[in-house]
Amino acid sequence: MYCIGGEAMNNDTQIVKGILEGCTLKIVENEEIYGYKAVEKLNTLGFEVNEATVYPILTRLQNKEYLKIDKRPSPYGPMRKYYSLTKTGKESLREFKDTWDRIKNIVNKVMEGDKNDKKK
Amino acid sequence: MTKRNKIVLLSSIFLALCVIVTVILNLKYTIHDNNVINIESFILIGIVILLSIISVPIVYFLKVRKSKFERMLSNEYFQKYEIIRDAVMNSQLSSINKKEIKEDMLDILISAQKSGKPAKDTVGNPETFAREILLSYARPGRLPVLSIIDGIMYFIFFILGVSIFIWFEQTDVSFFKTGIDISMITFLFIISFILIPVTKRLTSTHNYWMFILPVAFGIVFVLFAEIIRRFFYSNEIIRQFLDGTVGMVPNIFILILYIILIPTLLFFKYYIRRRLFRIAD
Repeated sequence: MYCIGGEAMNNDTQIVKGILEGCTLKIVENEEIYGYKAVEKLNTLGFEVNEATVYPILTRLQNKEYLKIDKRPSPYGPMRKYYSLTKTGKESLREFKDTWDRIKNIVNKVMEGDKNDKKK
Repeated sequence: MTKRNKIVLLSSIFLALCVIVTVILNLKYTIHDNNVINIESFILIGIVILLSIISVPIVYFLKVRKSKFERMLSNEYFQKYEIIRDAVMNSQLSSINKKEIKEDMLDILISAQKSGKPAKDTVGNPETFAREILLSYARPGRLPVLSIIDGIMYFIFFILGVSIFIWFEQTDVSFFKTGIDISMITFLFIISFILIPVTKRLTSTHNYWMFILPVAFGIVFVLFAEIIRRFFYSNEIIRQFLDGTVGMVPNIFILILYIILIPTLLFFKYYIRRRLFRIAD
């Protein structure tokens, strides 16, 4: 389980999985990142996620070839994977943004309509 | 040493002792019945005892000893890591993927530990975490195909190994005339197709007692065989099951077929794995 905006959501909900994948792609687009750092970034942005949620997402994105990896030893010793976006990853991020904008507009319209109905 | 490691080590010692006691008793009865023992049998028994003794340090080095980076994890973190590692190592992922996930886990968990985060907040339920990792590579419904291929390979290895072992005891008889007891073939079949996959699946949970499942199954099977021998031996089917033999390698062509099957199955497995693992959602 993880939370968005304080509301607990089931982590196998496809929509949440998709949102997290999109946000992870965006984070990686901005800077080369490693697993633990990605968790910290997502939490700073307001998601409440742990490593158990983010690592499988990173692996899935890597397996889909949206992310490429560079391995270097971490300051603590073990090899660390640094993720960056591939060309396919950039395309997928663009598609995610388009879909998200469309859905956001639709949902906003629906919600505003609901408010107007209540005012009447 | 964690509870899991203690159980793994103790079960390997117990299994080695069972094998040693069995071969010594076998030696004793052979000498008692025949008053003589041939040199091949003596060498074979020596090799079996030596392998049993060596198996314990091998288990320690491969399954128990912590690596340099694993030692950096606190007990709380290590217990969670151990469950994830066992689940991944006993999965159908390729050895490259397994190594990669192990490295990733160590990096992530050591980083989280250094930042002062409690293990339960980082990992949550380690079994769920491991399942999510495996799901990110393949849909679980398709993995039994790979387990069946593994089962066939184990079965071939066991059949060839046991045939060679039996032949060593009586090298004056042609290798292709060597027969294996039907009960032994059943035993090897159950080990290959049921016991190994079930043990692999169960050892990736909190229940570490599952590591003694192979030893327990061996004991139960021997007891079962002795009980039916004692009470139902007059039944023809039981008699055939216990003492009937089948030549599993009756000629050179079957032997070649077995040998060719191994690399063929390995290639097939590699091909299926590539296809299956590309399609995870």
